[in-house]
Amino acid sequence: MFGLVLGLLVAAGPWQIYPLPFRLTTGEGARKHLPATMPGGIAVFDYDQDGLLDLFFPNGAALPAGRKTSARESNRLLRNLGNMRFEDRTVLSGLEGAGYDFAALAADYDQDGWTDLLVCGLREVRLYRNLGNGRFQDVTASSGIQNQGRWCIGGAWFDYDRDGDADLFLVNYVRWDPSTEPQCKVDGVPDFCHPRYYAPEPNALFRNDGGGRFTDVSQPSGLAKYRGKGMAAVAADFDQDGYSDLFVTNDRVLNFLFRNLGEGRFEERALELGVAAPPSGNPPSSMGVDAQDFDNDGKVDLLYTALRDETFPLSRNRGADFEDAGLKTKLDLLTRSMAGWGVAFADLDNDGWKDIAVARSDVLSAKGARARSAREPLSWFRNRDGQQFVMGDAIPLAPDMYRGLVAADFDNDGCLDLVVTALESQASVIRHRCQGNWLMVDIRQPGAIVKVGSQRRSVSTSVGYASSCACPLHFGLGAAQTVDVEIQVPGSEPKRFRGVPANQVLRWSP
Amino acid sequence: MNFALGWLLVPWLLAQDAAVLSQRAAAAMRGQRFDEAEKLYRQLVALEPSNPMWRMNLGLALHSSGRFSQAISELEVYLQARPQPGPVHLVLGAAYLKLRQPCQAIAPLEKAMQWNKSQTELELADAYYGCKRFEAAARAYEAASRSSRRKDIARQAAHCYWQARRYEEARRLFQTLETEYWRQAEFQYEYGDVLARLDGPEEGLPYLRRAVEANPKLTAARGELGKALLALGDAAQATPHLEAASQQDVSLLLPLSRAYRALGRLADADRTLQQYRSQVTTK
Repeated sequence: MFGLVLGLLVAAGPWQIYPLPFRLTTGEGARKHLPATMPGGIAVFDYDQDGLLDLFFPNGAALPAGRKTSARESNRLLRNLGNMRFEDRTVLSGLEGAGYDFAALAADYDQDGWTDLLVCGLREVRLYRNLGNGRFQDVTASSGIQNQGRWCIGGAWFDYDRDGDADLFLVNYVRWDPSTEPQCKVDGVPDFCHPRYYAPEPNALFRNDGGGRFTDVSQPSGLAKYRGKGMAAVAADFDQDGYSDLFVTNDRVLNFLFRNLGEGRFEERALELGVAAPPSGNPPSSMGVDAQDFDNDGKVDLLYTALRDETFPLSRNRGADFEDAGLKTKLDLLTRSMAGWGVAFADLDNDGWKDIAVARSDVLSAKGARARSAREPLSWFRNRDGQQFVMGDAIPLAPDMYRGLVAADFDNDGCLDLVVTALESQASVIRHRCQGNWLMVDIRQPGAIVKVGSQRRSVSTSVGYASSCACPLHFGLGAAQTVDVEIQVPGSEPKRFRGVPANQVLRWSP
Repeated sequence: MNFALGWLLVPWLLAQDAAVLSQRAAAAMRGQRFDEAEKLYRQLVALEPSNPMWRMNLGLALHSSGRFSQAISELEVYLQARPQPGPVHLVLGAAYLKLRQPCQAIAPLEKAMQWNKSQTELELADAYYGCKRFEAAARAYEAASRSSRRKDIARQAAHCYWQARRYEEARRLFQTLETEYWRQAEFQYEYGDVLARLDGPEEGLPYLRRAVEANPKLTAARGELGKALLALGDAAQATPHLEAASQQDVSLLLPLSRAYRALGRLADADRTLQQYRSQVTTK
């Protein structure tokens, strides 16, 4: 009997799958319109302040119209009821949406304590204010946020001017016009076109003026003159000058690193800093991105996903510039045969070193000539002391067309779980059980930096591909029972806490 | 009565004529007098326009005389009437290959595979290859190499796996071909490239070195050798290879710039970086 029990325990493993009441619609038909391969973002945030992280999924729509025509195309808000049960609260919340949506960026832009939501779409963006009663109000028109009909695919809330509130950066992909879109074939079968067939677009920056109003500062900031084929963005203070910078992945053209010069201006320095392209010089299909300090040297490093044979480039921040770390850490070799989208640095085993979780799959159609190899499994790579990555154990979820991925603790057990989307598939939460102590720091101040022991994280909600996580910062502590914590809010002296006990959520507001 | 007899007699006479013409045409084909055969089959087509067999034979005569474009028209008429997989699909596919229209050859050759795999697979592999469907070509060549036990076809399969970026499969084949092809620069280059990607630059380096030694004009190999040397920290040795290869591949200007910087040639590094920016952006 004990053997049977033990067998069951082993079979359960550290990962458990919880299918969610949401299926990602793509609108893919016989004619392969590019938007159909691009949706799948996720927002993780506690919208009702009950202490449990909830979920929001932007959803696709019919193409080429790009308008939602049925309930199955509705965006979806799922309330976390605990024990990995989620209930659909979309209609009550007013977050159904109307257009073809890709990304969701969660942040408390009006600093009323309730996390709000910006939804990126094919032709428009929508800002939803959380009213605190389970409902969201569409305040786009009064906010001054207008993306000029561009295809927004991601972005980041960050405090670029250090005035204490969240400003908005929008990543725009390419100019898409169904009336002029070419019909492409792969191996003789219709499939999605290469990005070279589409014109680049500039990104956009909106300054938060307070009072629910934003001003488009794309031109004066210097950002508007750079046209890319943006896929994702992360905000972090890469050069440690106290101002949040921006890194933007571009699809088959050089990536951007917008260095924040202060006084509202940015300069593009990706090439000089060594992150415009991998060492080979070939600009890859850069996809999702995350920026964290993977080697605990106090500097924010960069990782982004790409397609097969491009590896998932990892760049180590040396202070003055970045160096390629893919070869030394073996990540290049591990990821050579993979195609990835959503990605997150996450200490999945609570050992104090940030691992990497990736939502994998090809960009080509799962119904095209390459269908057999289009679907890929989820993967994670274990970080060994910041020196090397090795394959993590298998996550028992079938290969699929995975897109969005966020790591967050949905059951408040101190272990990071995963939530993933896949094209034309049901989204899932993957519960993870781990050992090792942990600490969560719940701080909502954008740009704030939290140091826990030798680890460092900054408060930023954008992560991976088209996704965001307005979540407490997670730190794995290994065997440590207590740890020293330092919290640095931009423009103020750091606060230090000695011997903070492990396995708790430290809530802090400036 | 006479009228009715006339109606019976005409087909009989036609059949007699057709039989004679057909025998003469067949004799012309056997004697490789294809122009004569073509004329005779054209007469047969005029005599019996609804009989697709004469269109097929006409197509074969035209194919044999090297008039592939005209042959294709006739063979396609035949195949519309008789679409079952058979040897005519193979001839049609071969005609498209002769006309250097490999993408058009694929459909009839895939059909011919259902009729006779062993006679068709090499032609189909060539069609996939010409159409740049490298993964399909690799699988077809590999199957053909197994049935024929020909190393040159296995080599072509390995090349296609490499082109298709199916490096694991390419490595598996390259390993079996090393003794036959070790002198060939292209082989060393492709194998070295595969090893560098799968196992790291130090594994690919000896092969890339041999490739460049065997053929210093193989600039793609020089580019990969330069990148491998740079990744292993040898900027000095990497630089001449990257300089040579970047003439043809502008993406190599980026590693070249890094090599210059590592050597302290900062002005060269900056100039090359700007060159890279402008050329890659407009690529």
